[in-house]
Amino acid sequence: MAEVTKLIHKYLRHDKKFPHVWCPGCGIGIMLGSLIRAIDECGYNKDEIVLVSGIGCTGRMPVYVDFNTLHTTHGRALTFATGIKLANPALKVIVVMGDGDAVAIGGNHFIHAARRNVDISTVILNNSVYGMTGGQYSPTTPYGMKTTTSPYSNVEQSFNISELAVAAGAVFVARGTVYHAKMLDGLMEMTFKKKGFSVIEVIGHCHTQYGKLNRMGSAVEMMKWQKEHAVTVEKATQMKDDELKDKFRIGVLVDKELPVFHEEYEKIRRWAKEAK
Amino acid sequence: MSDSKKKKAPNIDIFRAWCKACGICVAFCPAGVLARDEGGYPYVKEPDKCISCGWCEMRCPDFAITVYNKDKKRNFENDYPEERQGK
Amino acid sequence: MKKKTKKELLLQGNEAIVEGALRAGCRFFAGYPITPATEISELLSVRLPQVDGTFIQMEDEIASMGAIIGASLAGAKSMTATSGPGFSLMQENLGYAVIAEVPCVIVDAMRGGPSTGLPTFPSQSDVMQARWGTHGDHPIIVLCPSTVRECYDITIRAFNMAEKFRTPVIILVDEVVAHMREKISIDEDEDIEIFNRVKPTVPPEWYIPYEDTPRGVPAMANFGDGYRYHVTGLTHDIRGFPTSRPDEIDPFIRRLFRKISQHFAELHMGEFFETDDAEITIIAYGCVARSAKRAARDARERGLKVGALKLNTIWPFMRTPVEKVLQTSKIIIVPEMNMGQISREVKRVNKTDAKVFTINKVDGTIITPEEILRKIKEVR
Repeated sequence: MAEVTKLIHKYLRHDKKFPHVWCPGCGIGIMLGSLIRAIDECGYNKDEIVLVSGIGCTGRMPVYVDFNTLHTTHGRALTFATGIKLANPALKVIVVMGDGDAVAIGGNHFIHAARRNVDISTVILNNSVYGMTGGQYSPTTPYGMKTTTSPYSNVEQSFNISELAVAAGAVFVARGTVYHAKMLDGLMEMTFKKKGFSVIEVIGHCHTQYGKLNRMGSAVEMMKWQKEHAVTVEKATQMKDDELKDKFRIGVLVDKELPVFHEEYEKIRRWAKEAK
Repeated sequence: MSDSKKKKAPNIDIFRAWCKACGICVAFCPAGVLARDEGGYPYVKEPDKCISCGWCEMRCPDFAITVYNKDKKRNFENDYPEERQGK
Repeated sequence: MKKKTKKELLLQGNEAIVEGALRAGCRFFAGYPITPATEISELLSVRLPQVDGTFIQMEDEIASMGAIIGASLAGAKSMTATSGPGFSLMQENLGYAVIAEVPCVIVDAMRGGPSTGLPTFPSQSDVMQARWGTHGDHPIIVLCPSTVRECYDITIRAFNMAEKFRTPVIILVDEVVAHMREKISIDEDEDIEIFNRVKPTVPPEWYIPYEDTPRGVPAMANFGDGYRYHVTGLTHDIRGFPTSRPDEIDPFIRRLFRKISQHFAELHMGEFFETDDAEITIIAYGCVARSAKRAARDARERGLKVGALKLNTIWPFMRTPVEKVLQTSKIIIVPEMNMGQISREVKRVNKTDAKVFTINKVDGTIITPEEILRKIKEVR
C-alpha cells in the first residue's frame, strides 16, 4: 500500500509547503488523494493535465499538485476550462469546485457546460456549506440545518447536484463519498476517462463549521454518517422507498454518449472552409 | 483468514510533520492497530494485527501515514474490509 | 502576375475590428450577443473556423471573459466583444487577467448608458469604467479608434500590446464608429508588425513564471508546453504561488504598474492637427475627433487659429501630448458624449493658465462640427 503514498508524493509540488491548508480531518485531502491515484491510473502525463479550481476550500487544491494549474474566480472555473479545452483539445481539463462554487454562483456555467457537452471532467466536493468563509449555508444545505447565515435554521429547499447535472444533459454523472475512498478512486477514474462533460459529486464534510453548528461531531463521526447514509446504486434498486428516505445513492448514475463539443466544432471548421 | 506462517509485521510510517491528529486513521483501522497518544496523534499500538489493507493510507487527508507491505504476495484488493470481517 | 493582395473594401467599423483581429493572429473568440457589438461575433463565427480558430457563444459575458482567459493561457490569441452592460459583467474576470497577466483583447462598443440605456445610440460614457471598472489598483491599456481604418490598425496594435505587456487591452469604440462604413484598403502582404508573447528560454525546472525583468514583463509559457506552473487570482510571488508577505506583495503590484508606465511613449497613439500655432485646441476621441478636425478646419477658414488633438490612446492618459497643447493654446475645448470623463483628466494635468471648456452631450446624438464651432465663437 505504501505505493499509494509514494505515488502521491510523485504528483505533489515539492516546492510547496505541506501539510496543506485544509482543516485536520477535512475530506478534501482524501478527495485529492483519490484524484491523484485516478490520474495516475489513467496514465495521463503531467504536462497534459490542466487542473482548474474556483474559489473556496477546494479552490486551494491545484496549487499543491504538479500539473498545469489554474485557480480562477468564484464560480467561473468551468468558463476558463471551456476556453482552455477549446483552444487546445489535446489537454485533459479537470475542474474541481465546491458546492457553492459549482451550483450557487457557478450554476449558470455548470448547466451550460453540461448542455454543450464540453470535454471536461468536473469534480465537485459537496459539504453543504461555504467552509472557507466561515460556514454559511449553500444551495445544498438541507432544509432545517443551522449555519452562520441560517442561525434560526435553513428554510430553503436544496439542490441535488447530481440530478441537476443529469437534467442539464451531462453524459456521465457519478456520486461518491470521501469515506468510500477506494470506490471513489474507481469513480474518479471513470469520470476522467469519459469523453464529454463528466461530473462526479463527492460527498464530503465540514466538521469545523457545519458539523459543529449542527452537532454532527468530529470528522470521524461525519464520515461514519456518510457510511451509514450512502447506498450503492445497485443495492438501492432492491430497497423500498421508505428505506431510501434519508439515504443517498453512490456509484454511477448516468453514463451515455453524446457528440463532444470540440469534435463537433471540427465539422464547423470543415463546412467553413468548404464555404470559403 | 488463517495464516499459519508467522508473518512479519508490515512497517507503518507516520509523518508526524504532516499529521494533524484528526483521528481518522485510528478510528477506521479495521484491525485496531493504531491508537491515539495524549496529543491525539496516531501511533502503532498492535503492529502484528495489521492486515496492510491500506485503509488508513487511503483516508489520510494529509498523506501522513503509509503501510509498507513486507511480503508482497498477499494483495488485499477489498473495498470494505470490515464487512468481510463481519464487524 | 502576382496575385493582387491589396483589397479595396467598404467595411463597417465592427468588421474592420474583425479583420484586424484575424490579421493580428486572433484564433479564439467568446462572446455574447449585445447591440452594438453583435456584428463582431457574427462575422467571427464565419471567419474563425476558416482559419482553424474557434468561435463560441457563451452563456453570458462573465463566461465569455473567463473563456478567453482560459484560451489565452492555452496559447491562443483571444478576444471578446461587448457593450456597456456586458462590459460591467466582465469586470471581475478582467481584473483576473490583469493580476495573472494574461494577454487578451476586449472590445467595448459604447452605447448610451447607464444600465440598458440607449442600446442603438452612441455615447462615450464608459471611459472611466474602462479605467476603473474592475476593483483594486491596476494599470490598463484602453485604445479608441475614430475611423474604420483605425478600427483595423488599432485592433492589431491592441493584440500586439496585450502579448507584449501580458495584459488585457480594451478597445473602446463608440457605436457611431462601430456601425459606420468607410472605404478601407487592406494589403494581405503588407508587413505589419505582429508581436507574439515572449516564451521562456530556460528549461521548465528553472522557469520563474512571474519573475521581474527589466521590461517588467515575465516570459509566458502556455499550458501544455511542459512548464506546469500555477496561475491564480490571489496576489502571488514570483513563482506564482499565493503570498501574504508584504515584501513580496509590494514589488508585485508596483511591477504591474511599472510594466505599463515605463512604456507610455510606445502606448500613446494620437494625432496633432494644426496645433503648433493654435490659440484654441480641441481635444477629442472616437467619432467626436472627426467633428473636432472638421471644426478646426472650418475655423481656420474663418481666420481663427484652431487646432485639434485626437486621442487614440485613452488610458494610460496622454499626459505629455495634452501638456504640449496646454502650453501653446490659451483655450482648450474638450467635447465629449458624456458628462466630462476625459476633460477631468485634462484639467488635472493643466498646470498652465489655459482655460479648459467642455461640451458634454448626453442626448444620444453625435457632437457635430457646427456645435464645436459655436463653442469656439462663444469662448473666443
